[in-house]
Amino acid sequence: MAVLLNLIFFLPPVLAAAMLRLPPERRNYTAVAGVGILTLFAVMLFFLPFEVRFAFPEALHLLFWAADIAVIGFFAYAGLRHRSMPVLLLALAQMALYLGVAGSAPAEKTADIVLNETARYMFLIINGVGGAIIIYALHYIQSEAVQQRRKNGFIALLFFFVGVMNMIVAANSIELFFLLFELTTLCSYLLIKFRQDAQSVENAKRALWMNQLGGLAILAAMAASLTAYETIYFDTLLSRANGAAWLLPLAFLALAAFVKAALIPFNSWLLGAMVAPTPVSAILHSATMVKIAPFLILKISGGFDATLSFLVALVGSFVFMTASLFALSKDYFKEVLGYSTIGLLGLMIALAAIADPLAHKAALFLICFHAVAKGALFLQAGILEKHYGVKYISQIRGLADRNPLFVAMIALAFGALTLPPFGVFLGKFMAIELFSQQMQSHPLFSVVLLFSVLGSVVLTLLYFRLLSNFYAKSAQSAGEGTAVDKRYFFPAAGLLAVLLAGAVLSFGTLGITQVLLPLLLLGTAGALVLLFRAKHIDRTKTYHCGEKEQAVLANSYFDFESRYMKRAQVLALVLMAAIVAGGWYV
Amino acid sequence: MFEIIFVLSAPLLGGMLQGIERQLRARMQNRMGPPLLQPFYDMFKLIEKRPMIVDEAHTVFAIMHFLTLWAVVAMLVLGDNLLYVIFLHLLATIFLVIAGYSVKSVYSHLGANRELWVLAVYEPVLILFAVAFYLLEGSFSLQSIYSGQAHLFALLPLFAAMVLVALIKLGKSPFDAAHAHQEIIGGVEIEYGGVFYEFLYMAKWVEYIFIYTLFWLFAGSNLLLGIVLLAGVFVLLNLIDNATARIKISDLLKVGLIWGVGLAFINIVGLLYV
Amino acid sequence: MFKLKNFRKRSLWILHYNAGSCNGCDIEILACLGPTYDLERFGVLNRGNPKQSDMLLITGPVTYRSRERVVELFTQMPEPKVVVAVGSCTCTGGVFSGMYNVEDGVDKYIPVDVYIPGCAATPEYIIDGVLKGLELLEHKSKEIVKPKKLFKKLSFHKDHIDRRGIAGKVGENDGKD
Ligand code: SF4
Repeated sequence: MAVLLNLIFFLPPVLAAAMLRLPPERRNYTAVAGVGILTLFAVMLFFLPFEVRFAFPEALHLLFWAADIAVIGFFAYAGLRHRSMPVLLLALAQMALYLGVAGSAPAEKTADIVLNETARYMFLIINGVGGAIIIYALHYIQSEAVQQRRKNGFIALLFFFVGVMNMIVAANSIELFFLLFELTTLCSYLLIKFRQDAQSVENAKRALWMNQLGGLAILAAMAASLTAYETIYFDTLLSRANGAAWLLPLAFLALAAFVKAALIPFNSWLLGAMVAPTPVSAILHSATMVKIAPFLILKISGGFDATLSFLVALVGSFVFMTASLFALSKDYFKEVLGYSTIGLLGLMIALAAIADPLAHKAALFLICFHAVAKGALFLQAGILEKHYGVKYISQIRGLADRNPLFVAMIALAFGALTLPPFGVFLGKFMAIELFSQQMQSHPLFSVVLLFSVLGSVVLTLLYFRLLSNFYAKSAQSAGEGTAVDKRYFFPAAGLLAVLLAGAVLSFGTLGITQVLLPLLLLGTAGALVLLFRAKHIDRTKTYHCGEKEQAVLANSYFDFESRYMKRAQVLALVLMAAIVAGGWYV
Repeated sequence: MFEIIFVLSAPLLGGMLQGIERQLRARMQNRMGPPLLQPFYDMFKLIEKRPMIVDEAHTVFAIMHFLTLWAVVAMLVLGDNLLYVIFLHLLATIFLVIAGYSVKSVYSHLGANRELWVLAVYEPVLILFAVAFYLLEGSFSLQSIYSGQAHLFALLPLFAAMVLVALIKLGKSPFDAAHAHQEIIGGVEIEYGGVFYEFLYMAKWVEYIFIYTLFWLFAGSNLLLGIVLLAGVFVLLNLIDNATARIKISDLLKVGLIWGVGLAFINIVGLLYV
Repeated sequence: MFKLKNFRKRSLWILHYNAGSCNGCDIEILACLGPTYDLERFGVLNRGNPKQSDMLLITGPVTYRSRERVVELFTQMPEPKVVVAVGSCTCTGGVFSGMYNVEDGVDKYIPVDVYIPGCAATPEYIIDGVLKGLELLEHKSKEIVKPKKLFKKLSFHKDHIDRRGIAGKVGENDGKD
């Protein structure tokens, strides 16, 4: 089975190399076949009944070490080339700390790779959702105005990213984790920079230095773990830190997760990533990158004590509420989706912070189904941009007239993020129960509960408020009424199909009627909309107080972001500082 | 058996309730008021009118709103999971919102927008309501709430918050901005006529049953208290409706978030410490 | 015997429109709906929405500006429906008759079933008129009623009638305006 695992790690880089060489036609076939194989591997690994652990040979460790140095060196070079002080300084700090830490690693060795249940779920979404996005990108990238060589490079980078992600979710050594963490930072930097205009470079730099902070936090965690617990392996660290009072390594790891998840003070890097082609946003938001954060918290929450777990949950739920509120003031479609991702990541982190098997399961549900739904939504956002030339919500107006099926798909994706019986709903449902449970032993959890309840209601408000624009009438038209290209349509539709099928997974937690009833209702609604033909019934106009001219409809508008952003950032930072301080003293 | 009959006749009972309510309100204003069965007379008349629609999808969503609400009441009365019932109720509301958005009508959109805004007020209260019962009973199971003891006195602030929710959901002043008749002509229901309006009209009846059943939960298995409580709430809601004027939607949001969610949250925290 | 038709006279929802009146009659109408005269005991409700109304309660002599609106609202009401003209000016132009900017009575535009005289019409008259309209409602058919002016053709589709365009604009019509 270790062979299969190694294949899932090393096949993507091989595919990436192939992408660079092959001519476009063969490239596409190879990519689709590669995605198919990877997904197959992921499914096979998912049904594996036992845990797999193994260590890499010593030579490979040397290679990792060299790669680490190379990546940090590249960051320093990027800092110099783009004249970015924070990037350069952070790279130097990382280099110094890394050399110090790597030199003092203990001789004791355990498995580098551990395949557990969490990793299995992650494989599914990384390869399945990530694969769908790559297939979508094959066609999408052809419409970018760059050389063919760079288009191939783009696809290759996506494959490489998937490979890195596959490995990071199975990594047990913090050192290896650090290398892969830095590699994801590198991938996202290169992807965001892809269009190479001033804005892209600017945002890529910001993404770089913020994520370097995360890398630094991991190094700090490693150093702290070495001094107190003499290990650089997650499992040993957790077993030794269990019940111990000094939790600084875990606090630092949590900090790294917050940065990766772009939680509020760090939100600008993820929102800045929108300048890149849409598949980049899709892959960053759904299958890769930000999902490292809740995954990392899930991995380490076993070692949290009550205070640490409460503080992490508080940060998560606070961000869930504020990010959802800020999304209300946005007009750029991808930005709205971006904020809602940040919010939901907050909720996932809050759930993952509770060391309880049910919370673990709920967090996994959220991670998986959020990945599918968000992936689908971003692919749809890409269709809006490429096919209809629409970027802003206010331009979407009247799309329902032109392509009702497409609008129904978007509505379904929104529904999947809020309504029963879909996975994200299930996550929220379990979250409320879990927080209520936690409250009984730890009354402060009531604040976490309040934040999550408000956040989830605001998200509902956000999604369905957005929908109104598809129906609103406006004078300007948004592109022609032709059918969407199949090569765009299928990946997006495929993800939606997975969502529907995924409702079945909730059988374990919900009763049969509880799952079937909403499905039946939604199905009836869909069938009736398609089939119901009102024969011999008059059609009338809508009511406009007897006026002939139709009024133009506008949407409600809130501006929370400019008013409360500063305060939210400060508050979140204070909470995060409290986590580190708590790790030190408690 | 009793529950099943109750669920099947929920729209009828709701209609009766509305008939009684119209009488009660008339008596409070010192007038005669319509006959008790007036809601059903309205219903038969609506069925008999020449039907007209704006478009098909719009009509379908109203029907789905009604059916979903009915399913919600079934799940609530037959003793499912309280939290789940509240989320299913959200689905019903979303159908209504989509119905409002699916036609190009200013008032319909305004109504749907407002429907969403008030959702932001009452949905947290409803969820906290469920959480309060979780804290008292140890689970969200409605069966155990129905057979458990009365929690009214432990949940008085929450009760006040629920009165606020009931005023919003049943469209009673001062919190009826979501379907204000003189202001936005009923909001979402504006574009429906004849037999198709009938579904929204009946949905309102089912909503009555839903809200009053939620109040019934406060009394647990205490039948007498339950009856007194429902009668009291019924009179109270209509008294407030008659005695106050509508407040603006923005004020509704403020009052609802501060008092509704605030009271419910204080109650929950209180339960943890007492 | 149980006949749905019987319920037409037990439930009446009205649409009240002011086609340029002096507001005298409107106040009386509102008085009728209020506690003192309590029209609701006959099942009367003021809906303010043509699609759900059975009776158009119209006041005012129809000013130039309100012609299109009157016709538009009238055509948006589903049949069977009755029109009640409240006040002298609505019936004949009343104190406004002969003025350059009014049309002297609503029945030039839409068919009126009940005329209620009085300037202003008293609540008792209004109640009588509304109840008269209620009786008439029972004898109405469900055929589409056409406005007398500003009427464009009904458009027939394969399986339904489209009444979206039946109320025309002033000037674009058959020249009768
Ligand atoms: S009839 Fe007289 S009181 Fe009534 S609206 Fe006309 S002018 Fe005014």
